[in-house]
Amino acid sequence: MKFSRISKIFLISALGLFLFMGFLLAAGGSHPVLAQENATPTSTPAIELTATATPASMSSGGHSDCLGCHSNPNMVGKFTNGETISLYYNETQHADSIHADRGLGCRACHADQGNYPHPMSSEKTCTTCHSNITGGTDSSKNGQLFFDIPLENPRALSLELNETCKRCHQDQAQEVKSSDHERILANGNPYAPVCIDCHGSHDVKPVGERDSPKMCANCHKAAYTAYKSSVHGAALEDNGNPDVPTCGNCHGTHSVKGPAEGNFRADSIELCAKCHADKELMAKYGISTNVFNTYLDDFHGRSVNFSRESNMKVDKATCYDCHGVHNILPPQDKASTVYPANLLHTCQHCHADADITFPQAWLSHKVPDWTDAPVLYAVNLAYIIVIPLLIGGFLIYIALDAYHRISTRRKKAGHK
Amino acid sequence: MMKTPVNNDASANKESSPKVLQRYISRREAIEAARRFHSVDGKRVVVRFTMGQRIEHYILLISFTLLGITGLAQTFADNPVGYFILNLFGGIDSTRVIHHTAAFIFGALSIYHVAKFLYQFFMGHRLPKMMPDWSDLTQLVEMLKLNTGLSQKHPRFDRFNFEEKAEYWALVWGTVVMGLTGLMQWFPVATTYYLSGGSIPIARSFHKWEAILAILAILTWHMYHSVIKKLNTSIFTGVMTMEEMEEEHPQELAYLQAASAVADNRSWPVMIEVPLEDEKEPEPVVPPVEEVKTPEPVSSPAEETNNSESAAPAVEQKKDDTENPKTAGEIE
Repeated sequence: MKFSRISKIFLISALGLFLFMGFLLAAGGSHPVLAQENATPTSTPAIELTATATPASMSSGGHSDCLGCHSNPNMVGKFTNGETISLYYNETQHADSIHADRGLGCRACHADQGNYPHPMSSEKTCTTCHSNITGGTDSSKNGQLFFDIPLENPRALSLELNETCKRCHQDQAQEVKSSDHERILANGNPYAPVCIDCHGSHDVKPVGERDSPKMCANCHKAAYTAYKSSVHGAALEDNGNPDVPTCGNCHGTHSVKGPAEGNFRADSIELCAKCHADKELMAKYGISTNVFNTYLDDFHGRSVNFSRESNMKVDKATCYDCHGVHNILPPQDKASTVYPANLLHTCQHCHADADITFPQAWLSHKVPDWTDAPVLYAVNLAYIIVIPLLIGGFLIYIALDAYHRISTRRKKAGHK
Repeated sequence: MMKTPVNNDASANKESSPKVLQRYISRREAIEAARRFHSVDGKRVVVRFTMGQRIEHYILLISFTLLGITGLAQTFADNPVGYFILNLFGGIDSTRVIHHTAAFIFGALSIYHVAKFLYQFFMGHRLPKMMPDWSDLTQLVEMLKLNTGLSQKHPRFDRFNFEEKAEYWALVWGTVVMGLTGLMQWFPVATTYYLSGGSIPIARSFHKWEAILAILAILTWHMYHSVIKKLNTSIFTGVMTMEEMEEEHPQELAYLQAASAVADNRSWPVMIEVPLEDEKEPEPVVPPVEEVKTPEPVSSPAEETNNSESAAPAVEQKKDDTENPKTAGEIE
């Protein structure tokens, strides 16, 4: 019989599409994120300490030369805007620093200052002490000796000296370039934190991961206050718990980023999962590791995870949208955003019209079983039984029919 | 579906052999039966689906396929194939938009289909041909006997056989389940105004499993019966050849031949005899073949015939419509 070309095309394309869907069904696969997560547990310490400590040698860096002048507590540096800083050097500060352990002295950092007189200094520098030689006026006041520093203010000096760090710490300098702090600095705020603000100058030290919250609190007071009362922060404050995340664990250290930057929001689910999908770690605290699976299996998680993988906009709820960020609390805590009584309010952040029963739509990260969600469990079970039975029945019928047809056709052909 | 002899028809010769179905038909039925016969390129064919029904199938095909692909891709977003498809459609959010659009089309089609059924049932006085009855069960048993070699008797299928009815009602069930659970997920906040929140994950589960079941059913049952077994293009072309009708719907063909043979009769209703067994082939009745090159859908013959029949006696009219309302423009 005849039928139009369009019909043929439709038939063939329809068949192709259905076969394709079948292939889609057949091709199973584990979750790539989880697989990857299990394969490479990563942890990078804030600072790599590879060199072994050498005995402190103050003289190697020209310490004793410098101390000829800088041991005088009356030495004061004066900036062009009138601000002053003490030029007195307290040896004990440096003695504790990591640089002292490596045998680095003054000139390791203050290399630009060279020998005396410092290239930065003016003629007036000499006369500050030796006023009797030139007969000029004595710039000292109350016994203090003022030295002009040809820079606007102490911060300008800090920023200038900060460049010195990058000579040796190139990797960190590279990381810093992508940080929010560097961006703020580049935008013209000189008070954006630089190396010495976190690590110190003469008393330079690596910042321990466990110490970072107090360090960050110098500027980020509100975040720290919230963190301190959170389940993570409280554990750190109380007993220095080594498992809880500190600022750096989530925001990064040298490449520190806020939530508005890059993929922070999308990647945050991985951040939480790093610990909360770790069975060994969570077993210590009796926390379920199903939180990540169940999240990924639900509407929000699946959307967020896909958008994350394909670098698309993430506009569905991530972990911290429900659980809070710095103020995160266990769900049993009455102040928690996910405490049953607070859940509706939390949902309403996005689902503004949500009604009192709406939060029940979320299964609280539980894998539905017979006791928690009997209806859901029964539906799943029923379909798992019915589908193979029904499709199996279809296939048996089809097999019988096909066998009969083929054998009849053969018989007919044989008779001819 | 042609009723078996056990009917409220005038089946006085029920016990006699060969088995025939005796029934009265109206002029409308006879004319509509005659109009089912056409000639395409010199070959005699029988109109099986109207243009409207064929368009319905096209829309169903496209929207179902789209729904299946976009739905499975969302369900199996972790799978490389699912991931690929989601990206193909421009991300999971735009895939969802396409899914919702296809769902809207599917829903509109379903509403149109039901509305058309209700109109034809109440206004056109046509009985649904898709209704399952006991003969379907007996034909299933006959078919199984035939296929397992227990019998050589092939069941004589009417307008729609049990395979097609199973397909149709599976689709109806699937549409209801998928439509309801889909809307619940589409508007979760509104749903929880009326139902408990726990209904949303249940709807989600239903939607996923029912989709898998529906797609598997289409891939096995539908694909086998209309493509693999023997390519049946009548849903696209609208017509079946006489040979195909003889093979797949002999009972319907027998009725159409018997009914169209009396189309020129002057007094109505007319009793026709429709053979119910293969042994007694229907007499080679040559129905009036209309000189139409392409098959035209039988479009709303109800109004025409109603007008032409308006002069008929009231008693007969009633009899036609209530007892023997079978016509060519059946609904399914």
